[in-house]
Amino acid sequence: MKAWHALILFAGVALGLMLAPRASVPARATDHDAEDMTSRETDVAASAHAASPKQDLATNAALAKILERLDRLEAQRDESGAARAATAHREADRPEASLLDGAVSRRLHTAMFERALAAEPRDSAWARQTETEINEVLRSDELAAGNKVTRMECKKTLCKLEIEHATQAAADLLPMSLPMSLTSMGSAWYVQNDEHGQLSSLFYFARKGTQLPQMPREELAAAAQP
Amino acid sequence: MTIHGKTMLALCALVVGSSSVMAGRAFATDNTVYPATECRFYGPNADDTYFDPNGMGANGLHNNGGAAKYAVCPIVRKVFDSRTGVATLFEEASIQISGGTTCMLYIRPWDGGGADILSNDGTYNYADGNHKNLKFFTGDEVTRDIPPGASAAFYCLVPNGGAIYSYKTSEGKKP
Repeated sequence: MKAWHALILFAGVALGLMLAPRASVPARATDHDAEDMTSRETDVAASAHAASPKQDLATNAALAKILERLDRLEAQRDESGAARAATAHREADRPEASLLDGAVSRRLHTAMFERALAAEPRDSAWARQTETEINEVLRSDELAAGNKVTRMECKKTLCKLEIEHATQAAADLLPMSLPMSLTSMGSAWYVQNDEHGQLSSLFYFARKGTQLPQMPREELAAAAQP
Repeated sequence: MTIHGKTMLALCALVVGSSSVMAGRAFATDNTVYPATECRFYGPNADDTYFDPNGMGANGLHNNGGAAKYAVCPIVRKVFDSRTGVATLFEEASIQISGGTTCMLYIRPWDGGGADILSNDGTYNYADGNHKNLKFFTGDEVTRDIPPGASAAFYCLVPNGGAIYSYKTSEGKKP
């Protein structure tokens, strides 16, 4: 093995040992690490070079090649770093980089609840009693103003409720007051819509003692794929 | 071995070191108990109500204001991975109350659209006289996925004389 081979091998191993403890730094610090690596590799090579009084021309040539290569790597890093920075800037516009789009999530949830409701038989006694209770609560002083029921359907464990609102205040009050006022209902999912200038809310309630359906994780994961 | 090969060797050493350290970052369940002084009454004249001075002033919220009032108890989420978008779940969410107080758990996505409004079904409640522990989930049966970036808070109706003492969440990674 030539002397410069040993020199380069030593520099590589020393570089690996020096950088390994820095691996706990988050991935975002990679650019800095690359910068450190560049300067350290050069320093190690240079100090090794100075420590050897019998270096030959071949070693010098090899070191020159290393420096050229590092220059090229730096240039490549700068280009890819700029591209990453541009991407990161776009991602930073969202609160969470890999978040499922809110509108997509609401559409998926609505479809899931529709399927669940359609698949249920109707428990007539419970459905009638619950629909009556919902109507009574919505006629209460607190909720009567500004709310109009456009659709109500109860089956065996789920109820669907669509309500149009005259004001934003009426729309905002409903999800805070209605669930707590319904004694025969448990958990709920709701979404507020503002289509064609008409403010409305869509609720799905689960019968007390039953669980609200959850979106299958696989379906959400698939929808979250870019 | 070429110079390129040796450079790659050094880079490989770096990558292996990074991977082993990153893999060691456990995604543990986070158990948190909050004093109910985190909660706040909302609504007209909400400020007329004050923390109970008789023994739990530092820890509880007590409605001494005459009329029933709504309180919000915020939950600070600590366990989720925004880089991967992996949803976490509440293995437990519970709130300790008295005096006819009722609570629901609201989970709202980051963009504010829609919400899960969760009630406890009463199955796992613990009651001791006037005091009650409302449990919303249990680890071995019912859990609730929480999307990354969603926020969660208890929303309680506290009658006159009612109180909230504390609340607790246990959030973890999906199995």
